[in-house]
Amino acid sequence: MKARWWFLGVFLSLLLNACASGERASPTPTISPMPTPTPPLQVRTFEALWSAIQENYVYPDFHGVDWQAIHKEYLTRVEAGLTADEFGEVIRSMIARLPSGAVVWQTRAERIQQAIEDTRTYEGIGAYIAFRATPEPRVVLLSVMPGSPAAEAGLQAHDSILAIDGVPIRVDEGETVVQRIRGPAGSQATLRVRSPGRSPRDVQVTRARVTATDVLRGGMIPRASIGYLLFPPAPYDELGSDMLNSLRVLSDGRELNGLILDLRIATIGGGWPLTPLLALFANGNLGEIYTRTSTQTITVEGQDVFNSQRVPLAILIGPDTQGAPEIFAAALQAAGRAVLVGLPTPGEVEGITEFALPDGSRVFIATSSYRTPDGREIGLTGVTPDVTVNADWDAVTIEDDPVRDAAVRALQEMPRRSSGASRRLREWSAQG
Amino acid sequence: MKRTGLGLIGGVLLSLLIVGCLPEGVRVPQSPLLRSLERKAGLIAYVGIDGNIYTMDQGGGRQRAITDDAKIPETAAAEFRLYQSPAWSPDSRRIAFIGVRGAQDTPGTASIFVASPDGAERREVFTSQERVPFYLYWSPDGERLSFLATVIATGNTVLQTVPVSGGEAQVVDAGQPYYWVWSPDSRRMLIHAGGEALTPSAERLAFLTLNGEVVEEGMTVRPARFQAPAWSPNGRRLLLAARTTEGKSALLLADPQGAVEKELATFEGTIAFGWSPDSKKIAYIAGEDQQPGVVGRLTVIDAEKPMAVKTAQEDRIAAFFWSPDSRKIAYFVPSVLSPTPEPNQAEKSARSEQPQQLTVLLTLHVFDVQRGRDRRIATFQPTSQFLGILPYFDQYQRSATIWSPDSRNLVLPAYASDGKPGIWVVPASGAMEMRYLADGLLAFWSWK
Repeated sequence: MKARWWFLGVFLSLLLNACASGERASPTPTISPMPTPTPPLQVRTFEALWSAIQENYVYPDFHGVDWQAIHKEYLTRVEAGLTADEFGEVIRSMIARLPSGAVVWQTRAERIQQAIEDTRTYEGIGAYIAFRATPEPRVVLLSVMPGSPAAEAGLQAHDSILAIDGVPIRVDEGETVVQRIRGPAGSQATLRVRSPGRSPRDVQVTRARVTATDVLRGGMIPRASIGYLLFPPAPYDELGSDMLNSLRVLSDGRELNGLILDLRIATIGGGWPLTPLLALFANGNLGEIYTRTSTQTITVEGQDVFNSQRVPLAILIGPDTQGAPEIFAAALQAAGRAVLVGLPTPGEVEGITEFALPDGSRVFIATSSYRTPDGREIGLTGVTPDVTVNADWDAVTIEDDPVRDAAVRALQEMPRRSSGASRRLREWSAQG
Repeated sequence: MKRTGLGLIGGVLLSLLIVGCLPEGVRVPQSPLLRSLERKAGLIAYVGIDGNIYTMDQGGGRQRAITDDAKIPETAAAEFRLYQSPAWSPDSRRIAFIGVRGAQDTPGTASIFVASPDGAERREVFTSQERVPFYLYWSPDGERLSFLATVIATGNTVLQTVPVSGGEAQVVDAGQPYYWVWSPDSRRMLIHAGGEALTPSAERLAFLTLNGEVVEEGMTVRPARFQAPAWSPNGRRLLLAARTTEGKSALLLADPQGAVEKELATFEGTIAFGWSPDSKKIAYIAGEDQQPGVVGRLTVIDAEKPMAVKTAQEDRIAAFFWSPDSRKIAYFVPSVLSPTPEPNQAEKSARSEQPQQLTVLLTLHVFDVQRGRDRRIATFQPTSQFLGILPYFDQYQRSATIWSPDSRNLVLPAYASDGKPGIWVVPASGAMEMRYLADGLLAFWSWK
């Protein structure tokens, strides 16, 4: 009986294996040899970087730099064999031969660190800043974040910092001065601060962890029926919708005699909603973005929102108006749609493209630039205001702002006829 | 009584014999007896609908709860604890999975656990409040887990590794999108990362040597449109897609140092591919770029003689998985089922802003590589979790399988007719209907 069950079991297992698909292959891994790079990785990386710049940098004349000669000079140094740090120094010194901001290189470690690090949250005083070398080296506060250590200490936009912990700001520090302003949360710094029209004073700030935030702000210019909107230093997701809401609020129950768009501190262009904002105020061909090999016309289909296509416009610009905001100002000026007031812009309108390099590092190269419909190369010349007012951001206040006042006057002096705003503006410009 | 028992057994044996050798096109309903009598191969790990991880055999038996403390939030603000992404170790003795937990006003925490298949041993090998893992991939030697995680602060993706026996997690790389394959000796990775549509120049195809400090060395070829590179299981060859000097897209065979040896095929659009486990054959889908994923025709070639080509019948294949015995390929053909409009539905749709819900169905085929024969196995509505991984099947192929170790069955996460998500098993022979095992969302079979 037992035997019968045993037999049945065997028979059953045989049966269950009937029509089976056969034996199973088991892979046998082998040791893969370590790579032997030829040419060496540093040489490959250098060549790839140099070539990427050679082929893609937007200005083929390299601003007069002999890029071919640079190749020969630096390749010799790289071929000699370098430590990782030395290699980094060589690459950075080669890049430094080009104009500032034309090329930025990051090591592999820096690339990974940037992916991990939240650049919007940091430990510092909580203010957007800009460096000025002249007439005296200083740091200008473009905007102070509400509730930040800077705000708690009474600092405001338009203030400037002359020294940190008794050490004056130096010309050679440039934008690296930010490293002295930032510091661990809880640490204290004594800042030598000057507010417009006042004597310098010492202010003690206790640093904290802050998240960079600022939004579109504005209101009505009293007794002028002119709206005013101040664009923040950095774009944010709702900037476009905030713009529409602001137009609605400013136009509520009234016809605006003009609108002032203040771009003097709009300094971070990445992610700025250029096309949607252009479409609010203009229509048609507004210039072109070009690379070494292609040209793309900026064509917008105008949308009249709360009279946005017809309201007379003045745009305030200055040395911190950079990137997409700079293109915005130049395009509306060229289209005869806005009068520009303030100081010249730096011409930082180049589009940046990322290139991966063989050692895992990467390089960002200025590969595109902007030219207006009338052919002005904004990347080379910057934007020149129609009305120059020689007052930097730390020479004005909310209450006393000659740049804004000049824009109000410009809007009020425009001939008010039934014709389009563009023609009125051209007539006004011709009058001087 | 004894006679009746013997008669019953005889009947069962006869039915089994019939089922084992049924002609194509004939399907027999599942017998409750079969699940207890058939030979079991490996175990299935799955995510239950309660958010816990379980294992079971293909009959639905030997069920073990690897976790039992999942908590599905009843409101958006409620406390939650969920487990997901089970991944079998190469020796099938351990399962790794991801756990996420949080509550209102407290930062969420994501962890990676490693447990034995019976749930007896469970260890947390990684925990973070800054990074959320979403994909796990064991090193072939079973000593490390590599995983992709989203950095909450930046939204970027990082690749990390962590020793399974305990130790610090290491950030190996960053990039988006990110695909990679381990070398069979676990010392290197071949990665394909970055270069989203707007910045192809940022795309990287490179080796990472993992020896304390990570050393990256880019390949010299320019990638064509593909996702996950492949390393042959025997370690001798690499498979990747690159642009040729004539500007064509080609599937290339390279040596482990990255030197291109052979152009296997040219293609239009995009491609996804995988080695057979015996390293002798290569299967690929070439066709339309779905961003992510691909839909196209499945071709099987001999790695040594690329001219030996076999092609599956269907031309809109979205994913495939090699059987462990390298003889068969399970592949999926998607189709969209439009809802049957009710009376006045058009009027309702016009009034409502809700888009009509479309149901995606998958038809599973098994392609016999030896004979070049194709068999339709089942059409089912996949769970959203399974549907979510299909566009990345080429990456999942490297780290998971839906095949049983004996190459006879496939595990499928699918909705039942009552709308309940479940884990099902279906024989690769197509001789029987799908068998429901348990309520669940996503399942993978153990390697062994």
